[in-house]
Amino acid sequence: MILFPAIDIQGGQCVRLRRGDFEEATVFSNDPVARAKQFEDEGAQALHVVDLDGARLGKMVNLSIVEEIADTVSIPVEYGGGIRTHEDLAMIKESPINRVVLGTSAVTDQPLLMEAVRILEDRLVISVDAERGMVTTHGWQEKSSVSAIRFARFLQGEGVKHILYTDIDRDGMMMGMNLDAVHELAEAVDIDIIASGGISDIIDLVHLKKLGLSNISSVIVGRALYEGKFTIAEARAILD
Amino acid sequence: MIVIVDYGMGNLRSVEKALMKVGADVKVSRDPDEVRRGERIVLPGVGAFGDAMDNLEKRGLAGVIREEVDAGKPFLGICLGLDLLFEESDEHGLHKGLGLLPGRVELLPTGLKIPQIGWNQVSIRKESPLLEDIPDGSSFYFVHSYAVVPHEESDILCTTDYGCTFVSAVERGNIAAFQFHPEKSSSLGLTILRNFAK
Repeated sequence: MILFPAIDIQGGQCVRLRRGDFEEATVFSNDPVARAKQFEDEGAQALHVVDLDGARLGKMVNLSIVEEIADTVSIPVEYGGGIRTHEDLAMIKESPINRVVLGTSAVTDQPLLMEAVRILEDRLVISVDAERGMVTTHGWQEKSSVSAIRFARFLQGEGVKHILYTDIDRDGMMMGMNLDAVHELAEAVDIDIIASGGISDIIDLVHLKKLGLSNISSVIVGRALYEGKFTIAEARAILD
Repeated sequence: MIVIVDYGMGNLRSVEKALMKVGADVKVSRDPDEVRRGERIVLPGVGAFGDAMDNLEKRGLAGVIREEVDAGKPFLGICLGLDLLFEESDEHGLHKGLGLLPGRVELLPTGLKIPQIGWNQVSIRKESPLLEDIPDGSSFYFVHSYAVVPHEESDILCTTDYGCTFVSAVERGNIAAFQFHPEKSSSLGLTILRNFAK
């Protein structure tokens, strides 16, 4: 299983939110590019970068910083936040970014979803952000009436290859991952699952790994790394 | 000067930046004369084999690459740039490759998910200056559905297991190529690029 350290960018800074609340940001670095490099030096094998301003405003705000990160590190970079149009997809396709995460637009704009599957193929990741089992959109600010499981099955049917599953009740709260929900989702579909939200202690990684589900390929960790709860080397000793 | 051949197959910036990081003098070019003038050739690329060969032929690059490599110029292929070295591929119909090495390109004969995307271990099959300071069993980053099947066993530099054992790198004289992406494989990937650049 691959560990993706998370770099969330808001106002040019590297921050962590609590439950996705844009007003509750903790700033961990003023230099996201340097932070990204540091994660690589600490042994990260990939990075997950989120443009929080983009997610909130519905347009790519910090793409240049994300591209700078992708240029600076020599590991794959996954990016999401604010991708809403066909032009955005075309721009991303030609960028050095390895994988692209679509959230809101995958729920609200089916033609865009199909276009994204067609042009990005395996580079496309669809994020399923769930609050009590239901999908949310618009930087987690709006709740839909679609269940995460049903949505994940729909995505699989549309040809999506990777799902990023985040339990937003847990994200940034340092209270452990909602393992039951991840487990249920991973059994409901065959495609690749990236698990996210709530990892707060090395033991959470042990539990996730112990689920023994081969389609959970990766896990995203944010606050726990910034707060030094464990190191990337310690995490890799469990996940590799 | 290392020339990265630009033939319209994917973003070359990561390869360019990675070579710059290891201190190489590097240039991305689609001009056959520049490729001829360069001291070393890097052929990266992602996408379909047939389109790639069409582009190389159309831009007058295929002939230059063949001539320069035959003349002994150091060549590094990455991903599709490995596949293109061989005689033919059955990716979406049969296509002729550069034919610099004998063998074919075939769909990964694996029961696991295709494409293989992610980090995987590499077994080193012979000594090479390019693999100096690379421990046997190191992990590198792969994104591919096809793999090369060299006719000559002596051309095999590395193999990797992915529900099957496939050839993940080849080397013959001045020609070397990797199925994985050194430019996205962190410090060990950069070590390979540094070894090529020196």
